[in-house]
Amino acid sequence: MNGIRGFTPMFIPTVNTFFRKNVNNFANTTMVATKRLLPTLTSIAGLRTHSVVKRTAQPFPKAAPHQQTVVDKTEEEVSAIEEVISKVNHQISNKSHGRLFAVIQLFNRQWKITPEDVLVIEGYWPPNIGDTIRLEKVLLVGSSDFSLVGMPLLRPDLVNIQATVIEKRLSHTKTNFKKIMRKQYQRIHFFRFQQTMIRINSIELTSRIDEKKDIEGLEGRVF
Amino acid sequence: MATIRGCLAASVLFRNSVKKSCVKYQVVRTVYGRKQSDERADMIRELFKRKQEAGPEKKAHRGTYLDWNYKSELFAFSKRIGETFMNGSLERAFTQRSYVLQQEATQKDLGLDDPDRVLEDNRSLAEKGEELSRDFVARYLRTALPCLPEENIQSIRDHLLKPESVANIISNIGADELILTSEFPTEIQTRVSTFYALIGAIEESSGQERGALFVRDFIIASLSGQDINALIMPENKFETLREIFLREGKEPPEPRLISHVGINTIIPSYRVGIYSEKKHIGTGDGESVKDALDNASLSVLWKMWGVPDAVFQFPYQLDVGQVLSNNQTNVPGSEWTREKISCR
Amino acid sequence: MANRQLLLPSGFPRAPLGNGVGRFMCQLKRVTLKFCKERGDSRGMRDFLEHDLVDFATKHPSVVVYVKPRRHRSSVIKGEYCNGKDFWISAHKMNREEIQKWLHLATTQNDGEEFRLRKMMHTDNPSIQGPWTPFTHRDPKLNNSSFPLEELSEPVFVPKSATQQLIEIFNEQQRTARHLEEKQGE
Repeated sequence: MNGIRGFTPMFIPTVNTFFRKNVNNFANTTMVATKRLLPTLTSIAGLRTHSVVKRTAQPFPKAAPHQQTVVDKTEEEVSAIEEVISKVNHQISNKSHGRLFAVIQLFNRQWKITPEDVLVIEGYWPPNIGDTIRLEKVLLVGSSDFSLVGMPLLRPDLVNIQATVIEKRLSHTKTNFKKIMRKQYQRIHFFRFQQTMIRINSIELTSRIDEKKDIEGLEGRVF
Repeated sequence: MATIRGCLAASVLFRNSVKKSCVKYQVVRTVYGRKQSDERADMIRELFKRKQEAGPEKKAHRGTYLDWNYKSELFAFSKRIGETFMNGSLERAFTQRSYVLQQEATQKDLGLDDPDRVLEDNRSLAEKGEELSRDFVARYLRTALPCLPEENIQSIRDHLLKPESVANIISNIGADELILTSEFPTEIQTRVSTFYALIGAIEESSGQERGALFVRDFIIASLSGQDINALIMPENKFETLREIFLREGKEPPEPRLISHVGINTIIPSYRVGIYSEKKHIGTGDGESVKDALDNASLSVLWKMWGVPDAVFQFPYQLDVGQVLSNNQTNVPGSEWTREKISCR
Repeated sequence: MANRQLLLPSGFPRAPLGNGVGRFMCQLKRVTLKFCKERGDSRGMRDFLEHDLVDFATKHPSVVVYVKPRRHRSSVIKGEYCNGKDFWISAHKMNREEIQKWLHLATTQNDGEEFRLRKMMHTDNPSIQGPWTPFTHRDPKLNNSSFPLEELSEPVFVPKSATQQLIEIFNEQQRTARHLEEKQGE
């Protein structure tokens, strides 16, 4: 793969400058400039028209930016963050945050839920009526004053969402009509899909937000 | 050819067998001639006409159907609501006074005057159940909404225990057909007294906590989907707020128009803020300045009473024992101040 | 969407009596199984009664099961629900497994009504952090200013003119050339 990439002029700035005498490229080159590779007189004089878009290749990014740890160094910033965290923790311990909402992933779909909601899940889903389930894939929890955003999920010991399966029924009959013109082919299929209604019982924040466990992501798991 | 003949023979055999097994069916299925067919059509038309004249069919009680077993129904009902009943208290809870009188009259007509076979009606159970539910609902609301004035607690309780809503509960748990009464369809008052008798029967069989749990799961839970804030709306909103501030010995609240949008359109919007001691304490919007002022006062009042609009989460799963042991009553509206709430 | 589906009664997800907020309650009150003792089309129902009926009844104690033999009529499953609605399905020529499936459906649904769902969720509190209003994130400075404001009347985005672009390119080239000369000088 490396060999092939080496031959393509897109990724090697030296070759690139050799083929395209683009003045903008000089800043990127590592090659020692010689007289031969100097831009032509006309381009220096600004008489040639140039594309606004930079046509030179960009180097590969070294590390994904979201994986880097950003440390806040100024004292003001640190104290502001600590104040916000302590306020949120205070609300959680007092349960004075009021109604909470959450964004969860359920059945490959994201839902914004709050207690007493009814969701309808379409398709085969094993839980039976009367079952109480815990929804674990929580992407976000919010109250009127704060929002906790997961990266991508929130810790399972931080938030506890309980739901009850209240109904399993079939949808209305949906028709699927197929026809191929001039080929004497015509079919009608009838479908009724399974639907499961669940009631959200509670959304609870169960621990402080700045608590760090020794091993994260393993709470509640059985090996 | 031989195969065809074989098939024919088989079909004749099959038809004969059918004939043997259901003779009546074969007799009815005669081929109608033209004349007979006309007569038949006339008859159907006449029947249809008479049916139309007679009007809709009278609804019959489910208990008059062939497939009806009252004892199994009672058993299934107790399983459905997840309660156990002792010594036929469930049957007693469903027995109305009118049914007892009716039974006594029929027995007299038949000449049976056995004093041992006296049916018990549900009046005592209903009294017991009504007392428990009125008491428990108020206690529950006081535990869940400790900052709300006492008058509003009473108004929410009255809303929850309205005869229509209680009757709605009993017909939605499938108990309407089980009521033993002389009237059909059952009247609202009958259903209400039966519901209270049911609570009384649970209390008698499994104790007070279990009865209270039933009240919590059916009466309190019916608050879900209803707007609590709509039930606690004082008549003069800003005046109520002013009185509270004056009682607390603070500067009276001062409303100010913060901003407005689309004044010359058919849907103008005004935003009013309320300030006290140079601090912003609440905002409200409305189509006129008066509406906006009312909404702003309401938002401040609801925040003080612990039921902020759209943010308030009513607890439906409070512990029953904790609720029953709560003997405090809320502060009445005429004496309501924030200090009295915070000292609790 | 077909016309038939448009004419179907439609509705939103709902649960009677706030089912699940308090305690959960199975909504099926009673089920009646009607069948013929002789005819072949009731065969599956007879098999079901023989093998699975007791299991079904013990598994669902909150449902009253009635069995109703009728001579020379096809078999039927009829369920009655707490809200007073009925569910009726012909079990004509159904086998044992099919009857099991339909009965399972009858026990798990809230009523036998077939209707089109308009939304796949129901909520009484659509917004907790508050919906957007014209006053959300509004600069309080605007309260005291008089309109029309010159600052707000300006276009949000003005593309660069060709002349301006040329000037910028020329300046950059000059800078590059100077840079190169410096390097050569070194």
